Amino acid sequence: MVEKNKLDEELLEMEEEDTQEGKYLTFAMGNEEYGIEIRNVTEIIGIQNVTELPDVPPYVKGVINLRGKVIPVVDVRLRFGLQERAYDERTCIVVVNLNKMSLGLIVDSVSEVQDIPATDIQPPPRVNQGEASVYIQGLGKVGNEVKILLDVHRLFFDEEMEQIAVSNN
Amino acid sequence: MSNLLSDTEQLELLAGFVEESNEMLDEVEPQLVELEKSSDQSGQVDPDVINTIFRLFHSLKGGAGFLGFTTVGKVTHTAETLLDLFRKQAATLNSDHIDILIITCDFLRQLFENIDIKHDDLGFENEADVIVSRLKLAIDAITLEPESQPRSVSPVLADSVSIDPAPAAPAGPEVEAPPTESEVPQLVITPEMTHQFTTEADELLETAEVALLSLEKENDHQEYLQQAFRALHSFKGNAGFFGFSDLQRLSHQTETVLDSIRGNKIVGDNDLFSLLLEIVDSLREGVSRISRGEDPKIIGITGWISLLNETIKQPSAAKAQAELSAEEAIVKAAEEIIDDPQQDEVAAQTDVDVSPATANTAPAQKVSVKITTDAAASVKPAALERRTVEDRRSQDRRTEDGQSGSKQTVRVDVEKLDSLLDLVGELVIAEAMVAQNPDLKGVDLSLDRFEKSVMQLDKITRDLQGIATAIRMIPLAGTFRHMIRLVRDLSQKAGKKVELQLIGEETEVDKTVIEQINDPLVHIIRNSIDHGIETPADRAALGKDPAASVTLEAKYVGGEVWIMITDDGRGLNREKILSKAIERGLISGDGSDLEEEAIWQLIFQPGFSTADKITDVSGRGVGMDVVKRNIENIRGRVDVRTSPSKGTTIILRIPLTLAIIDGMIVRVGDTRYTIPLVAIKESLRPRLQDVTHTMDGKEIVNIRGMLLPVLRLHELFNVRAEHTDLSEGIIIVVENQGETICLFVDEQLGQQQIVIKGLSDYFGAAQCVSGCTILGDGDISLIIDVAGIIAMAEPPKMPGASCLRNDNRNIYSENRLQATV
Repeated sequence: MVEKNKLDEELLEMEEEDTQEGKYLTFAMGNEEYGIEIRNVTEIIGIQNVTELPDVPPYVKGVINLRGKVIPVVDVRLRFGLQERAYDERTCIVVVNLNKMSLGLIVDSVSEVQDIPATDIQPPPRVNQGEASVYIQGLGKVGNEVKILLDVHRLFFDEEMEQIAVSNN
Repeated sequence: MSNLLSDTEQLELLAGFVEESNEMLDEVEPQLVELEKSSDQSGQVDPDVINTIFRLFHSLKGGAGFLGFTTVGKVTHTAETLLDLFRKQAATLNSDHIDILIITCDFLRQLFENIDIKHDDLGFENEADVIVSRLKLAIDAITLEPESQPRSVSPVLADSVSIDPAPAAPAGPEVEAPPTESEVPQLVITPEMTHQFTTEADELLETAEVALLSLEKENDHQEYLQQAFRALHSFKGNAGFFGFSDLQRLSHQTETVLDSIRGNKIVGDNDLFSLLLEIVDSLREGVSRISRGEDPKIIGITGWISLLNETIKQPSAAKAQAELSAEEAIVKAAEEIIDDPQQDEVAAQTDVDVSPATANTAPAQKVSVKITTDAAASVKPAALERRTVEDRRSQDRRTEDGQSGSKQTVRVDVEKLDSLLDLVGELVIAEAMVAQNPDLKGVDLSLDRFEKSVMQLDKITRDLQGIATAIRMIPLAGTFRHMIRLVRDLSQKAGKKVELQLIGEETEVDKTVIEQINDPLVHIIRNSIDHGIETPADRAALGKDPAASVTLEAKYVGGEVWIMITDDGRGLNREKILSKAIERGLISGDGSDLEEEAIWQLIFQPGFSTADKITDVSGRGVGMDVVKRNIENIRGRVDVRTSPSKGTTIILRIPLTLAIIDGMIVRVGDTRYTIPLVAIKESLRPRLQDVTHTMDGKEIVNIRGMLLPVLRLHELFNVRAEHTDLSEGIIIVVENQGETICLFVDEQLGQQQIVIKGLSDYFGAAQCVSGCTILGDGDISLIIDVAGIIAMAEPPKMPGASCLRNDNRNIYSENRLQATV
């Protein structure tokens, strides 16, 4: 919990400085580290009771109550087609703001905020494109490690969800 | 003047002006229609109505002049001139006049919209000229007719673009003959208007007081003098508008004194300012009497006025008396001209000519004598009265803290209101979270005191919630009045005579409801006039009154607001609707098994129309679909009652509050769902022998002879249930629009008031869930959309409907087709 608070503070500072360019929130899933642009992230919370919804794709786990606000959450593991894993105390929900909506991403654990300059980012690999690779925005090099940088918008909106939204509007 | 204001103040001023002006136009339009009606019927024009319209246009002109909107000023001024002719009964009003005036209203609306966006009224000069010339044409037609115009109005009046608000403030100093206007208006002045008057009057007096106080300190400061003068002048105008003659007289006299100071005729000393301040106080007293609904008379008014007159005469110097009284005479005469430019023009002219020239002429002297005697006689009583007034005032101060004090309003941004409501909603949830906290269950100690405190908290929260909801409530009057114009236009277009009656305009509903209800009303009324109501000839043949009637009524019924639209037309045609429905495949079979209500509901299907021909008003079958959708958006429902050749009533039933409903919490496995209590008919545990299994796996329960399908919530929502055996769980019978099904759940947990939250936009709207709520322990419970579930469970009406969402897709694609055809 302490760790999370510290992260929140860091995020806050980030916003104040208004230099969010090139900063990524990294989180772990399985053996890989992923990153999303910090400007989308509003906060990070521990896993909560998720209320399931009918008639939604399996990776949409349902909705949570965030201080009286109802926000949908997506399980990133299921989104990538990875093996489902029971939630534990390290499981986090990364709350992001997209299209004026608050949305949550369930990830295994959050690591840190990292500077990855554009020069250290490579475009996603072109060979052997897997199904999940559409979510990759680029590959960031931090020392010897490689972080998979994700397109947050894609994580939430694909044809399936868009169709639901369109048909209802 | 505008230089004194900051940018934001100016913008606020503009926004206020636009809003008020639009409100005034909203007021004018129905009145115009009313006027047309009365002149049609009897050839007579109701002077009350004319006066009201005249006054509204006049106020518009005043506001525009103040802010420097010359185009608006020009148009309103010309319209006012035209109206003045009718007011003076120089001509009879016909529908051409009304048409021009209505066009003027439309144009003004356009201008106000432009002002709202661009903050000026430029760029409309050509249109304005067209309208002004049309108005002038009408004016000329009247004024140039020699016979009908005994006191001819010089057409120059129409040309001069005077936008000074002064000429209208009807300000006759004569005690005996209050201006004619003041006798009329009581009929048309609504409580809201009076309320607005008192609020504004208080503000003006406040300004005057502040200015006078500053003036007292810095004697020769022209700016403060101007401020006080302006405030009192506006006050006088307003008071005259409402016909509060005492207020008007006293403020007028004060204004005269201020004018004398301004003209350096008298010197303001401390005594004078004390007197003026006391007069402001007594004006305030009068205003507070009005706000308490009492007679707005001012105690000791004659005393005050003579005291004021004394002050004008004070500069005792030799030249004084005669000259001053002559001046008074001029002022008086001038005011008479202002008051009624047509009437006494000649007489006043002579007066003005005479008095300054020969200061000692008889009329002038008479005036001065009269004033002095008057003053001497009433100084003493005035002093006495002053003391009583003071006593009373201190009493009033005390009561004001109670309830009878002056009412004040504040304009608030809707966003702030919304977030207030959100916060209150969250407070309710948080309160429940504390009160029902699971941690308390483990405590062995007595919780008496805790529970008492919780009860207290609960009461306060509920009260707060009630108030927060009430803040958003707005009377339906505005929406209803828009329909007057609509009915007029439509009935003219359709060549039918229609009387519109409005009942219960004062009924208040949530702001969201107001926004959602306008379109449905328009569509329903269009339908009524276009299809429901017969032509005058047909009506006569049927023995009906050739003038049809449409009634718009609003009232509270239980926890709902009912808005009823009733016409006395031909009623819905059952056969026609059925055959159309069969043709479109909306129903299976010949429909003979359908209940009446179910048939009438068919008219709300998208694209459904029984009209033989499509007019430019209706017939495409889009309107009623909009009605249903808008009303369902605000969780209301639409009922139809009709009888052949007698007419149709469409009832929009809308819940009072949109944010809170009574819900039944049910449990399925570990998940809790909420079913709106209004939809629940009963709940029971069925006996096995009452359950029939059909070969396609459906279950039917026999409840006292009714055979109802069972829908298992755990199957619908795909969750694990505790019980799968119907006789072990519980069945909840729910009903929507006359259709009933059974929902199977594990357990009923009890009912409670819940605050509705929308599911995220991420999901869109329909998935058999109409929203969600947060329970006491912080968990989210989905609110079941009973109508959606029933539509899903009962496919016959909608062929191929497996799920609501697909269904919606069909509807929308159909809609698009309809729109493009």
